[in-house]
Amino acid sequence: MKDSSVLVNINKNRSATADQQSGMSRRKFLKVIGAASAAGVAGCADSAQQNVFPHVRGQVEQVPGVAVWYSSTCGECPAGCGIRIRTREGRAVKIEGNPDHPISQGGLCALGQSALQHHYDPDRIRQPLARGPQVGSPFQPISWQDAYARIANAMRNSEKKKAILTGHVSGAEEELVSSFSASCEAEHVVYDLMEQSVIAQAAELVYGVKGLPNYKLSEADVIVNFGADFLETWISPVEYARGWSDARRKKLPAKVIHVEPRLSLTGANADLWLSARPGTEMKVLLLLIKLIIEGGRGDITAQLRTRLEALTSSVSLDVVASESGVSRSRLLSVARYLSEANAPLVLGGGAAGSTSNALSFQVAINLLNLALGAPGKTIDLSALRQPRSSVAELELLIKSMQNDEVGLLFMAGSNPAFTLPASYAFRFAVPRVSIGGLVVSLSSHLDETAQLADIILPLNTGIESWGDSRERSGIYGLRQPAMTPLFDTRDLGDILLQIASAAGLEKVSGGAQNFREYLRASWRKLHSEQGIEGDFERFWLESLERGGFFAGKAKSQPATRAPSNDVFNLDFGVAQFAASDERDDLVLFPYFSVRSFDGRAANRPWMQELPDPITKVVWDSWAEMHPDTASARGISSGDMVTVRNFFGEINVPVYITEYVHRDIVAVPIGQGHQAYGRFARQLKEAGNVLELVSNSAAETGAFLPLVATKARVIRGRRAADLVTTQKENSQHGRHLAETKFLNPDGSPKPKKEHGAHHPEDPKQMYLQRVHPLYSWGMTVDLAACTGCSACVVACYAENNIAVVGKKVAAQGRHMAWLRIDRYYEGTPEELHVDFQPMTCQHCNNAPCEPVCPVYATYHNEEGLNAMIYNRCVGTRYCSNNCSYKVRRFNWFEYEFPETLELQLNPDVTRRTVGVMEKCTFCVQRIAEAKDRAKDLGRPVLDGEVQPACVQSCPTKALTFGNRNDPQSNVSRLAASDRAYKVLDDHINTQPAISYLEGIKYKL
Amino acid sequence: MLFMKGRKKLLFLVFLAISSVVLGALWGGNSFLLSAEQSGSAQIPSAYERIDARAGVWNDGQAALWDLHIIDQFRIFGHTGRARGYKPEQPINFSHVTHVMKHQIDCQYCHWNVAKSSYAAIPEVQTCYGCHQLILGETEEQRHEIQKIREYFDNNEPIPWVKVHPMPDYVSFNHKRHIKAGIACHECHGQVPVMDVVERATSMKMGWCIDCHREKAASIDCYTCHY
Repeated sequence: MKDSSVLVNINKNRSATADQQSGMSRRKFLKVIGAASAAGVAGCADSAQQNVFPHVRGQVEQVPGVAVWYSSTCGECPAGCGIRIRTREGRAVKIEGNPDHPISQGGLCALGQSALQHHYDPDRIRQPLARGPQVGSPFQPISWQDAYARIANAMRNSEKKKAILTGHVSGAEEELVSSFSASCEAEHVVYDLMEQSVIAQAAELVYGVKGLPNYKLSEADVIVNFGADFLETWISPVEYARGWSDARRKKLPAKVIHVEPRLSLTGANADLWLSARPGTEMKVLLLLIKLIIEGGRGDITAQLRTRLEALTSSVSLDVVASESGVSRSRLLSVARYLSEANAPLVLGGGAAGSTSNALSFQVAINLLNLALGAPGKTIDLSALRQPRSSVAELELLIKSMQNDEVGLLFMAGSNPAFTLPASYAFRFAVPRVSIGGLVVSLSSHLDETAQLADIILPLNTGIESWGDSRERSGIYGLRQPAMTPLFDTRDLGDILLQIASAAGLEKVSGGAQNFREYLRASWRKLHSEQGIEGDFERFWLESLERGGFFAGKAKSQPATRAPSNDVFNLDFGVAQFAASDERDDLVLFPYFSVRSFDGRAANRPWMQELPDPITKVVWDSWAEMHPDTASARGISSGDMVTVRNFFGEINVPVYITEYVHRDIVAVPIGQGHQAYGRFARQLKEAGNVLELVSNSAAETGAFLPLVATKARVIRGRRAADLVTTQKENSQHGRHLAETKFLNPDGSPKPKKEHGAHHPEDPKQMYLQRVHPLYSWGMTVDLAACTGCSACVVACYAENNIAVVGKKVAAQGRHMAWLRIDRYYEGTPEELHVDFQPMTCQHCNNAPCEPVCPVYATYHNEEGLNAMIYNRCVGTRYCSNNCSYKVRRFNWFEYEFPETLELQLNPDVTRRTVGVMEKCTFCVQRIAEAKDRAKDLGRPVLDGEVQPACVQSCPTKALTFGNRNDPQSNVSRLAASDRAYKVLDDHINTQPAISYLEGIKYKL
Repeated sequence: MLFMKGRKKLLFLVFLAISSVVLGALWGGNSFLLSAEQSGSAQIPSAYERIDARAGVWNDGQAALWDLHIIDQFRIFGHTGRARGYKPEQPINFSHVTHVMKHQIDCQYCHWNVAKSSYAAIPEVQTCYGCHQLILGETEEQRHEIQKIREYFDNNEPIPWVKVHPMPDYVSFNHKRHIKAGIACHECHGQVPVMDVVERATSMKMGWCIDCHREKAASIDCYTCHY
């Protein structure tokens, strides 16, 4: 595939004839042209017959034209959110959050939404593959039986060690992998870069219970966060975003302080962002402990108090202030907010927390929480998550592979060849197993890891498979297939059971014929353990319908104990950064982004086209640098840069921003795939930043020290082609996104006057609109919007929005109906960031309507600004006249490559070239709700219509409903004193969308 | 044409265009009439032979004044499948006359989801097979056609019926709402019971829909059908 124009069919015929032109006489060329155009005309006049294919056998639940929903559990990251999959005529077309699920509570992040494109990926493996006998020979299709026979043979004959390397596994799948590995004496290693194992380790040291605690952000009133990106990718982002917004919606909103050398999305949503010098966070933390202890807070034991005093005795305010670069007054005020708080919470982690001293850093965070009395209030130690990912175990496995001790290796569900830095030499260790042994990959994609295998057994995606998720005690999510597999693929569980039976390991299955039965047996056990009344079948069906069983009894409260003395023997020094060359002067700061997590979403066009929430870059990787750092190296905006250290180099465009620390170069993780799929490979030049991470800096091995390496940045020769969808970073005082600022005590700050000319009762030039029955409208609570972009991806999925690719996006022809504008205000020390979802405002006095020469856009009786595609002739006047710039024009006929087109929503027209399009408030959902209401003889209820964006929002910042009904949620919110309409004061457009001012403290 | 210039050339071209449209329409209309006459089958009771396939169609399927029966744009330009009288050959010679006229089977026995969904949907192969595992046909031709159903069913293959009413992607028509509003099938589809081979009784142009919506005070908002 050629680079960025993959998705665009730019005048196919023309390029075809241009090819034929070479070596052809003019006469012949004209003939060809004539024939081609004649064929075109004929094709138009006598269009091919369309077929209608009925079902062969009827199914009771399948009515053609009516959607069927399946409750399931998302398996895209270890969080375990509940989802509902909408299917039409047997194919999944949309994934939404399950409102009954206690973790996600109806929301779903961008990654979860885009699981559809993982499922319909044109680059999925479609049948079992095996390499030929020669080393490096290409993959050939093989039958399942042959594959199993080869594997069983290897299992019987191999004298060497066996190992199973998986990503995050849970529930029955985990049980099965364990019993499989036990019965064939294989070692089970789990590696998932997103799992925060180090926090579990630190919890064991300090609280005496191993596992990730459940952080109750909604209970907190002061949150101090050391780099945990809990609104983006950290542990359970949807759940924490909801908790965060609940805390911010209280009468006295929670104060949030973020400490990280780079402004992440989570940092941008905080009241205060402190850009501490990388590595000095530990000092800040110790200082906070010291100040809190000195302030006399907490009911900790005298023994612990002395311990903590001893630990922090060497820390002084002045030294910390000068080392970290955070001013004295800031440090003191943070300590004051914490010590005055009723329910404080200190968090840390994410990429920023993966420093060389990550374990002692987490221990210090826990000690601070302990001193603040947070456990029991904001930290719930009864419902723990159990991450199993361990880099130390993987390192041992790699060592034994290098020593030729491993004869059979299974790899499933993770991609360590990409997510493990090259310095761990995983990529070179696996081929040693192939020599005389067998490497089997269970994978849905031919990614970097699968490419190392001898045999690839294709896996079902989460949409096609059975499974369950027991991430937190008391919550049991079920996963069920929403459609039959697209290709000749199977469940991970089924494959393991079949391998076991082929190898004669009868004990593994426990009598189950397939994984569904195995899962049912596991749930039967749960049914009796939990002492649920009624028979099992009923429980099973109810759980399937609900998406799981959520009322489970939590395991008995684990006994917590005081931190042992060993804890204080850890090294609480600053983080170290490995540099093998003194020219490596910047700290390399790889970070997780909502767009790709650890690179798992890189082959999903929606995610590549989704603008990064902070930089607004699409289809690229980049290096963020401070302007001073850049100018000192002669680098200016628009340059390519080379980030280099001992381990390698990457060439990426530079993104110069004031919102990173001077000492770091920040690069998002996830691009630079050499395999995986066509969309990911478009960015293979960008390079994988994880390649540059050193393996030597770790003090202990359960985690990967991501921010522990130094690198130098050199100006590249080429000019960069970085594409951003937002060129302007400031509102220029235009009051588009408004914020109510609070003093630290919660009293509102006086507001600056607008200067807008808004008379009390403006004289209306046009006839005013009447909406007899419904008047659809929306409110957007800017105090709850985090800019996470889940709504943007949901909109793509629901409305068949085309992905245009990098080249076309660079021309400003990005097609997103809903965009999130990001504005900066103030200096980096007193930064305030606004996120504003911006979509069609469905104005009563819409500027687009009167300029349409063909009446293709007009205002309808329900208050919608309608856009009729078949009427549109493409003058684009409407887009010119739109004050909000939300209309999108189809400059090309965009393609949906084979199998991705199966995701298209049959209820929404696919637009063709020359047609304008924009947000419709999901009119197809309004039509569906009205249809249902008419059948039941009642009006549409409040909350019955939820456009895709509203449904997906993890923080419920968006509300949709009938503005004619004074009791509806949307009317009540629009009447609040925070509500305003964008530009309405200036140009009297009367939008149907009301924004509620954001709320931020001026700390 | 190269020798003509200016206005003369324009007039000539206009004449050519008009005459070709008229001739084409006449030819198309004639062929349609012929095919309607030929459609008689040995099994139809003679009383039904004279029923026009288009009888009972709302407003005679006429969209507007200029949309005369004889000049149907789809016959000449664009999608022939949208023209009145479109009568594609089907994989099985299924006769509505036998099923509806002769054996009095209700439309919704087979098209059961027309009142449940926006789609009217072709019946499942299983529905055909349900009766035809017992009813094997009287004549050799019937036996041959019914055998095909058995083959499709046994091979677990759908029957590739050809769509008689193809509509553009940008039209969202809801069958359920029309059935529930008491609109009879024949008001849009014509006298399907007398069709041996199903044909299109009207070209279903938007003007025709709108006229009916106006008369019955249904919504004529564009968003009702186009989104």
